[in-house]
Amino acid sequence: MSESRRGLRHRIGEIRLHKLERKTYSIGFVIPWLLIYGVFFVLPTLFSFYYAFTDWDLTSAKFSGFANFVEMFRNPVFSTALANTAIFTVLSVVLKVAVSLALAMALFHCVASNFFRTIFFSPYVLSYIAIGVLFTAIMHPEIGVLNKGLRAIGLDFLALNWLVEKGQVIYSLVFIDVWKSAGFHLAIFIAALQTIPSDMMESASIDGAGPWKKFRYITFPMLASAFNANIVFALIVGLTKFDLVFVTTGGGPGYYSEVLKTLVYKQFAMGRYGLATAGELIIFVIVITLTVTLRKFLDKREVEA
Amino acid sequence: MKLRSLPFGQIALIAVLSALSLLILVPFYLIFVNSLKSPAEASELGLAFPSKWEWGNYEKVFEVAKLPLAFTNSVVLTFSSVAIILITAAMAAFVMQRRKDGLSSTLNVLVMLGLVVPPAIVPLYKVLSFFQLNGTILGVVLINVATRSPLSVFLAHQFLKSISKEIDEAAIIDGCGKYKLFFRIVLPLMGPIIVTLFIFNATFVWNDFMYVLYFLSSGKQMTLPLTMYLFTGQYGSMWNLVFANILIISAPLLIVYFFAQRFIIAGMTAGAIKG
Amino acid sequence: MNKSFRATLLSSFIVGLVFVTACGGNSNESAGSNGSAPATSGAESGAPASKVTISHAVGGDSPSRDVWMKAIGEAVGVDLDIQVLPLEQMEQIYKVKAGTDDLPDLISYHPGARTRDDLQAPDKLVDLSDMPIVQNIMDDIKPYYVEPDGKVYGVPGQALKFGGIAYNKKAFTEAGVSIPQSLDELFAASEKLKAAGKIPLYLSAKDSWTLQIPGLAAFSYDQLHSPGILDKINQNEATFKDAANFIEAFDTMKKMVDQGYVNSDYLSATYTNGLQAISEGKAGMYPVLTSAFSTILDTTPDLINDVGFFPWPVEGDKTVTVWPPMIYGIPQSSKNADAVKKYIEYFASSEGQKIYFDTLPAAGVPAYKGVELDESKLLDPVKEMIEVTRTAKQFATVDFSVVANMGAFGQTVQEILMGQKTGADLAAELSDILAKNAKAKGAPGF
Repeated sequence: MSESRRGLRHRIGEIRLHKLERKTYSIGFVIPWLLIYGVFFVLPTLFSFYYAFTDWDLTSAKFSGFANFVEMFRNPVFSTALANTAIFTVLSVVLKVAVSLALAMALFHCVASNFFRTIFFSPYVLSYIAIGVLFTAIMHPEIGVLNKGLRAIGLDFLALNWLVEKGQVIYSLVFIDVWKSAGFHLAIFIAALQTIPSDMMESASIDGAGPWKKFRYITFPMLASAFNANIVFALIVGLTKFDLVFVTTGGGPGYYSEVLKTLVYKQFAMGRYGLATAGELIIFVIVITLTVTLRKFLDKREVEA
Repeated sequence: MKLRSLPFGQIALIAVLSALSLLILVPFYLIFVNSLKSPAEASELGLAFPSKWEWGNYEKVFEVAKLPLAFTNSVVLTFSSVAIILITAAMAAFVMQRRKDGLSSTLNVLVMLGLVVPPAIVPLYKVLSFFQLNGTILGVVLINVATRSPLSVFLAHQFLKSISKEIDEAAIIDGCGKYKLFFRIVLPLMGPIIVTLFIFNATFVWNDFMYVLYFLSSGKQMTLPLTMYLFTGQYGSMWNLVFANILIISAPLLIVYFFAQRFIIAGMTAGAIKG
Repeated sequence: MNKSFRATLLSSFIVGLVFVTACGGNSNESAGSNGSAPATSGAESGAPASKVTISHAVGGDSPSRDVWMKAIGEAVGVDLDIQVLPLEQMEQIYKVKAGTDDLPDLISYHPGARTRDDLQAPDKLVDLSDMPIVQNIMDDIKPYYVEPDGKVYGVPGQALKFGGIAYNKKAFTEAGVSIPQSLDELFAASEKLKAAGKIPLYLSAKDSWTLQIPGLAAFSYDQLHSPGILDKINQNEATFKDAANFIEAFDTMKKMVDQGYVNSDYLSATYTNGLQAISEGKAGMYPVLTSAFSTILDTTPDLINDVGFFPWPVEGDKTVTVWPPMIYGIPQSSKNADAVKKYIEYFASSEGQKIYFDTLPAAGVPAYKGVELDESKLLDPVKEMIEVTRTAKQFATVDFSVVANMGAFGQTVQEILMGQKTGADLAAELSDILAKNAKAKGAPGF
């Protein structure tokens, strides 16, 4: 067959493929999800954004422009909450991803992986109330198991007041969150690792590649999308952390562990619904900005990987 | 799986992992042991063995919390929500990932919105009453689907990036229609992520109490997480019963997780991707 | 993913849908806002007066609640469908339900201004002023149930609670201490308690709400010494900065911390810890709401008579702060208003109150006049509470009586105890918050 004729057939094939593509990846597949999501999430959320600009008491809403936002920013606790949220987020993201990645790799090579996987995932099934109660007990300065254990092995100086001391509370909360969620991120990594074709690994071994080379050139690139997913998700979770803080310390003592979401909740509790919604909107803007920026950055690197 | 490391390496690995597991096992042990103490002993929240093993605590929880009812409600709610989430999210993610056009990117933004923004209760309520769904389990199912699905769409989307489009193209050329393509070819390949999403969503919905609290108002519609509030209150808590309750609520999830994992292993040998 | 898994998934999807539509329909019917519920009370169809089911939502647990509510319900031929709400969420949920017209048939909520505002009473609640039991409400707390215009949106649905100091009698005897009658005596007693190896004053800062009690208890003295101060605060003619006893209560707590009269782990101590300490006698005194006695009764019944109660000790005539009991109310949207009224009437009657107090002997003081309690069955702390009502003037707690929500200030008290703020700072903060919230509501004068 001549070159040009082969080329033409190829191009026709391409065009047909493109049309087919649109038919195959039909919008119909998206509709069920979109319908439910649109009606039962997007719609109510858009409504609520409107209330951020009003004085709302659940039945009547008096328009108040940006007053709520100003009040929120002027709140003396706002900067503390912002700082705490930032520290919490950065630390928890780094730790969650690092720990879960290390665990994933370790389990990948381990014969008893199923057993350990269940163990490491199990904290995730506990509800936050359970975790709050549990760790308040464990971290109690006098009768708590943690300090008792530390004192028993002579590390008295390490027996801090974990959920009370100013500098310490936020770090303790990070620890608890990582404890709970490492299993979640681990599961995502494992799912990704399981798609690596075993014959790829085998041929690499045959070619003489050692474990580090295999990790760098096969495993990690395949993990790239899982890695990014984990970072983005951990970021969002960190910035919007509420349950854990609320149940364990309530933002206290004083305001040492106040984060953005707990601060907003307190406005709700006081009946200032408009103000609280404005707070939510502020958090939303912060999170979306950071997430989109991060995603752009990560997506670029993902393509390169 | 080839035995890549020396047995010694495995032993070391297992030793390290076991040490780490202690971090997790000790707290669980705490819950277990305290669930079997008397109220006074349990308030100390220590590691000691109970002076008397109060198995009656579990009986009490069973009775007071009306467990059979709560359990049934939880199962129905979780099952339905998760099933709907998985199917709709997988389908949507598939199309969104394969199509690289404007529609996809708009949808992507919408998904991001869902990950970041918490649902607004009162407007949600108004939507539900518009459809006359308030006070129904179906209403709560739909809310769960709407609010939890973005994560599933997001993760499935990411995962699909690693399933080469060439497979699709090969199938299309072979004459596969869209349903066959998705359900027969792509979905099986999504095995690991589907099972993972199954576990995540099941955990979220099973443990959720906010939606049930706000949108279901009958005592007969109580789900498991809410039973915890029968033993805790601002005016004091009976820790031994609370812990027993926690164990009862968490156990099914763990069992589900353990078995779900086996499906992944079983499926692995069936469908490795060729190039 | 093998075939059997896919098959399972598909079939669960279908089963799920079936379940949901079937159960969805079912639960809508049994959600309690219609007249009869034959499915719930078994084979009642054909009975001339079919049992009505009224729905009720209440915050927090109380294991015996089912017992006495059912008993009262049975006496009037009514079934109860009770939804238990987590205490922290209770207010939120009720507010939302009010806003969406989804209130349960029998409402349980904070009285007074809270009902009026949070639940939008004039628009949403039934006026109960024609019920005879309204006349029976104790005079001191009547203003919290009867509006200035004569309307009644809720009547007492619990017993009266006081806020003050719980003390352990054995500890007091051992240390040779009697009930302090002034703040100086409070310190003197603490010194003796400390010498006897007890924790003089237990504080449970982890549950920050408990830290508010001394202040709220002390505010009554401001109401005694500066009559009308509450009204002035509500009209923005005075602020919390003028409430000297209120401020002093917090500074007193701080002084006690400084002098070592407070448990050293107070920042991590919880309410449960506090109850344990006071009932076992490890601590001499502990600020409480008298509902604490019910809890002590539930957990350690043999220790209940070791504890007692006295009001916050300020020199001179004593006052005690009362927490008017939660209301029972009926939403206008209820279809069972008559049944609920019957229930409430019986509850407030002598027989009903007897059932209530028999089941909950430590509940407190009856909110209705003319209820005769069996003196022999009364527990010691309750006896002391009744004594207090005869000797001390009662004022309702200020946080129920202010014109707008003043927020929970326990966290700020934590800061005071840690030395970062003073009582005066707290008063200034509260005045600020009150002003802002009152302004947002459009209260006159702000």
